Amino acid sequence: MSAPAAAPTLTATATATALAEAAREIVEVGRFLSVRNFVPATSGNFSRRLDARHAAVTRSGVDKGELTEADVLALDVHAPPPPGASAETPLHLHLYRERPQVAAVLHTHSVVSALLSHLRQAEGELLLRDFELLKALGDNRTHETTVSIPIFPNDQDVPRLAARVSEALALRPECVGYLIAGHGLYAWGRSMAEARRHTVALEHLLTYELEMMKVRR
Amino acid sequence: MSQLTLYPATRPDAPLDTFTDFDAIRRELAAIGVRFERVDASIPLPDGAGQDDVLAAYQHVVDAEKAKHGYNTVDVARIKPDAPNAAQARLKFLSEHTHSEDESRVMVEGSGCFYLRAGDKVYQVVCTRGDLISVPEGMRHWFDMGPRPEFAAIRFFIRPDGWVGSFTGDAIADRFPRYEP
Repeated sequence: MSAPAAAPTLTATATATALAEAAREIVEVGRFLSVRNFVPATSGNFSRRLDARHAAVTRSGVDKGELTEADVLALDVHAPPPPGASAETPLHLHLYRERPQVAAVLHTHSVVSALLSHLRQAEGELLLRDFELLKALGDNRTHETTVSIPIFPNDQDVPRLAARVSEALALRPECVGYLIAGHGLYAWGRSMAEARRHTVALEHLLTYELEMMKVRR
Repeated sequence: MSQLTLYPATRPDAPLDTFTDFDAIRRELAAIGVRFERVDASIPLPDGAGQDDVLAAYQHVVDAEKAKHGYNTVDVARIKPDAPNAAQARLKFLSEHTHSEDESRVMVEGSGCFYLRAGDKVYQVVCTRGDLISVPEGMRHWFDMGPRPEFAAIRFFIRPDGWVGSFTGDAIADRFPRYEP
């Protein structure tokens, strides 16, 4: 295998413009997800691709409903994250490195994503089938399909967790999201709008699944 | 066509033997504890076939494997050459690693190549449609899906995290010829 070609570097002005635009999208999506209680307190983190080599990620420790553009940091997706970036940045960066089409990654901490992933952790995945809303995910054209949402055990060693997630997702090119048990949801898309649609659709499908478990008891 | 090539672990340039006969491959692999079987995988899969379609088509294989070996979880890994992550996906499994349970899979489409390290030898096993291989827990191995990955495999697990690999840190894989179908 030859080494990958060096990514083109944008000029300082172009980078600043891309960063400002990404920051606006991140601030907006933060407010949108926060009012739906998907990112309580200072939980959650978001990112947006800038170019082949760079991404913008939220700063650690800020309420995601009260982000300002100054809370968004640009970084190199091939380099170790700088101080101040979200502790979970490695879970964003491997997606940008490995999936050229990914433009945005959103991580939420809703009650339902933490609870359902905890309850179903032993199964290793959540299988969603026969929901009309499955058509909101990726390129699905029918609800007559099964979408597998992998569930990973939580791990405070984030680089190790990122390596495990990356290994499992390598053979799931169609995957648009996964759960970390007792923790939350990661979802992504080919644009910020698609990442947001996937997040909202998955949160809704998880809620439906949890309600179904209650009804069937 | 399935093929087994034996190498001394220290001489990737000097293969010892090559087998293409199924019974010969099975015999050589059985000697190092690797299960190698053949199933009828002639059921055509349409381009858009998802996990459900593949599992439904091969329900009889899935049920038989689960009953015989106590697998709890089954999934399908399917990759096409034009998948945007194809090159990265290949890289993931190209370094020597082990698993904490047997790695069992049936190739139902396309091909891929396992490299198994046992004793002082490396066993290069090209798996094609219809091959069932089970690499024992703890055996050092790596997997090459080739420069244009194309396969679908039904994978069997005892534990949900059975797929997690422990990388040995040994660069042996880089010294062996890559899979170039």
